[in-house]
Amino acid sequence: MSHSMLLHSLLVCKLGPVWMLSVYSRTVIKQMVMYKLFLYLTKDKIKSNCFHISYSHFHKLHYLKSICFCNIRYPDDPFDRIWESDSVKKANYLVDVADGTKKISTNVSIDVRGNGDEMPPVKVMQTAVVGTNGSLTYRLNLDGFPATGWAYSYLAEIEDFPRNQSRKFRLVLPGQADISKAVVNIEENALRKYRLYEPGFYNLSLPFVMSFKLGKTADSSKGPLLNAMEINKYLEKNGGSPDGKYPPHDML
Amino acid sequence: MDCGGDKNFTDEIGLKWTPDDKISYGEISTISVANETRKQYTTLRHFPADSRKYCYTLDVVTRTRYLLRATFLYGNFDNNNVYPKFDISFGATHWSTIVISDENTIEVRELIFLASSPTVSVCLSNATTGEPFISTLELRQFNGSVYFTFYEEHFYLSLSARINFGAESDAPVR
Repeated sequence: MSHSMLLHSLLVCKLGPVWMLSVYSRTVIKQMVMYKLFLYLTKDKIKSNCFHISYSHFHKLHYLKSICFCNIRYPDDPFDRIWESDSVKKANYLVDVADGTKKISTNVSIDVRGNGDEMPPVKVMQTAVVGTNGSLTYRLNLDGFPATGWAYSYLAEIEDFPRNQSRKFRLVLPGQADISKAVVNIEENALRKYRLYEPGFYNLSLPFVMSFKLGKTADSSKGPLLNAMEINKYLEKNGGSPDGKYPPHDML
Repeated sequence: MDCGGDKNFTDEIGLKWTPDDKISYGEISTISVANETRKQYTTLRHFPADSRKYCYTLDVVTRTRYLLRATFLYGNFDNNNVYPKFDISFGATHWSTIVISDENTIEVRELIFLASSPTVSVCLSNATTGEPFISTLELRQFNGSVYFTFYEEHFYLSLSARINFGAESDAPVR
């Protein structure tokens, strides 16, 4: 198992007579592992074209996905989105961080089929920050804002804790009291640990300088957790003129 | 698309790049930037700072959502001490103003759109300082209802933040 810990998950597709493998981490698969995998696949008489297999559950052949995913072409994100690291140091990017903010991670594969369709990369969902003193706070500048935007968080419970403990928290945005009414309990909302829950707002007014806080509820034993978030601005289309003069220098 | 590139190549993470050699406007520059060895960022195409719009046209499938990403690495290609500032538009829509404030930092703009015609255009214009330029242009197709919004007939989604919390290094995930 020495090299196997490097692998997070495998994607297996049958393309005509050939089985194709994609590896979610960039580790090269050892021949031995491929051999074992094919053996298991044969044994289980799999009929669909594609399987997503969590490597940490590999010995159990725990199929996380049966949907076809054959067109994955990029290292970690199926659509080649870029997920910026929260460790990058630059002006007005994730400052005013609460004391007690800790990074956590897991090797367990995350089921990224959540309540939304966006499918963040498993690798992104396997890391998170937790507010061990009861809150997470951040301030960042949002290019293009103030405006109306699409703002979603991507959450998965990746910490194991006993059932008599809980993680419940609220989002706090200055001047938007209504938002704090909803209480998030990731495990309950996602129906289990290690599965995506994607709460957010598809129509939210946000300022250029955004401060936000995730604060634990009074009856929660654990502080809040955040794996990833995404904020887009609604950019209104300009229909332009339909007279064929546009664009004036159409070159490619 | 590797703007200013001269041949097809596949980079170290498996992305395929093609040169923008069908374009007949603009000039190519090669830049040298510390710690940037990725071929797609070492070339760029720049355009005259005049009153015209310079456009790339891309083929798309209608009724399909796409991610469009444009990047700009200045690298002092023009040996000018004034950083460029110009506009990028998507079709007739003003997308963003590109303001270069550092020779070595890649500026990135990303847009999610639902294609309503078989081609889309990305245009550079209106340089107030320096010359408009572009390093890369990327188009990625989404599946199914990924990034569906109720407003997609009338609005694009322009990316402001996409953050991986708890990241183990400064490197982005893609």
